[in-house]
Amino acid sequence: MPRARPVARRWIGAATLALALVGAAPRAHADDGPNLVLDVARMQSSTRLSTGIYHRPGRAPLLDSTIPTSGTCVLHPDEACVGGPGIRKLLRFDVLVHNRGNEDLVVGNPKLRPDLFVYSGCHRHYHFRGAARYELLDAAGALVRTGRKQGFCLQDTVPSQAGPGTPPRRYDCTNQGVAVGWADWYPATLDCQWIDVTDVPPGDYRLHVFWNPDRLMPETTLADNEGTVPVTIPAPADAPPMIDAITAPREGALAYAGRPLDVTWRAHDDRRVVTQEIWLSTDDGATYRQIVGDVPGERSRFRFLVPAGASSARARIKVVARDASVQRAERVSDAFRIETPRPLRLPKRDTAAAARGEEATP
Amino acid sequence: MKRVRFGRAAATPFALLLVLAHGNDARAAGFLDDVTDGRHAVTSSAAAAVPDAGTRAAAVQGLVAARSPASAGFTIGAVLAALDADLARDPGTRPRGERTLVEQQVRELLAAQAEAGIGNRALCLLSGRAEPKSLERQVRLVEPRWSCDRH
Repeated sequence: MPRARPVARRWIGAATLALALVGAAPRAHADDGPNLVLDVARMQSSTRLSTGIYHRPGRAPLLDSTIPTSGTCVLHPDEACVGGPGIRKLLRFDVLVHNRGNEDLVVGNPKLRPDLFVYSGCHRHYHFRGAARYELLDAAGALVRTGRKQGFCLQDTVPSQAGPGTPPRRYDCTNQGVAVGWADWYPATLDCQWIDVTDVPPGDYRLHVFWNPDRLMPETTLADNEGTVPVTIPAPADAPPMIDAITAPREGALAYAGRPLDVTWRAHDDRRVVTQEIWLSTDDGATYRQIVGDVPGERSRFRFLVPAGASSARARIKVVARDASVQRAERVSDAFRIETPRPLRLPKRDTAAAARGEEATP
Repeated sequence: MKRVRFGRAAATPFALLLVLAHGNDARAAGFLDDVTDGRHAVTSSAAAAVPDAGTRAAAVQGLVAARSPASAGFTIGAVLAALDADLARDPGTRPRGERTLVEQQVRELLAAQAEAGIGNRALCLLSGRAEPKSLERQVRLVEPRWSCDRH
């Protein structure tokens, strides 16, 4: 095979260089556009377990001042970022997404995009719907838990790089987007920036975050939107709490729908019980509904109104106690009855007798 | 199937482009790293534990001045860490001299915020506090209408 002459080789080289330089110059191209990139290193370095005590909106009883209490929106139906009130174990992590494309991600005024945003009555501003997916996977890759964060407000939160040269900030919650050179940041300290891992058994897991999983934000690629980091949920070093007995309601006791019922029990822990839950079953323990989830740990009595319309020949109460490391103990009461209270029958008054001033006889 | 081979002359510009692309990745998250460095410089310094506010403030200024090159992110991290120490102080019992020092630190913080071009919400998030709005109380010593909610 004849070899190319030196002059021809130089021409080939020069032409290739020219092509490469033309390719590097700005021009319309399939790769032009915003490209949000998940910062997996940040996600990994920020991932940690924590605990918190949460209450239904409008309820904030004094509990344990050493454990952070928060979240008027956490248990709001719009959010429901934890599985229930009381002490919870949370896997917190940062989500930081840089726009490393060559165009801004422009979403605009949320009021004009009802297809993308939902108004949060609790936060009193608009949230981007489906911005990210948070998942806890087991070693085999099976889904164990998902995150419930709804509160995404796409904006220029922090510059991606240190030092001068960052373009001015352009986007915020009222005009949403992420400019080139900026990053949107959801630090682990934020409410709902977590997966609730309460009652997940100790072991090795993987935290998976997928930004823009449904491609609702226009991006050149989703290839750099996902990250997975290893997570270990350690076994607690202390003993779990114990519930010795539920002393009321007792076997065969009768409770009435719509009337108060007293529950009493004895729980203890090697350190202390932090919060307790009361659950009610009207089908002999097959299913339960939570009555309350944040009874303070030092309490051993709770009075509640039996739901109106409830009726059961074999109702049961379940008490769950949780300690500071969110370990649980539970105990189920003896079966008792719930009946609808009969309307009071007053004796018929003899109007003629009443007119004579005589008492009616039963 | 014919394989395409690139000569040395063609490979050089592609290699250059690859290096540029990689360099862009390597610098990512630099701003937040600077904030973390600034915070760590203060919290790991012996001066951070000194009860005297004047000594603490001087130590923070020294750390920021020693940073080369100067960085808004580093200053923000360092001053936020210094302001953490002031949080436990009841404003009503704070001596006037101490209040002046806190005000000076808040001014440095706001100047670094302006240099970085970040909003108030970002500054509150960077405080790393479980209650980010606690920063409002401190900044309002200097800017009475300052709010974390203002973007």
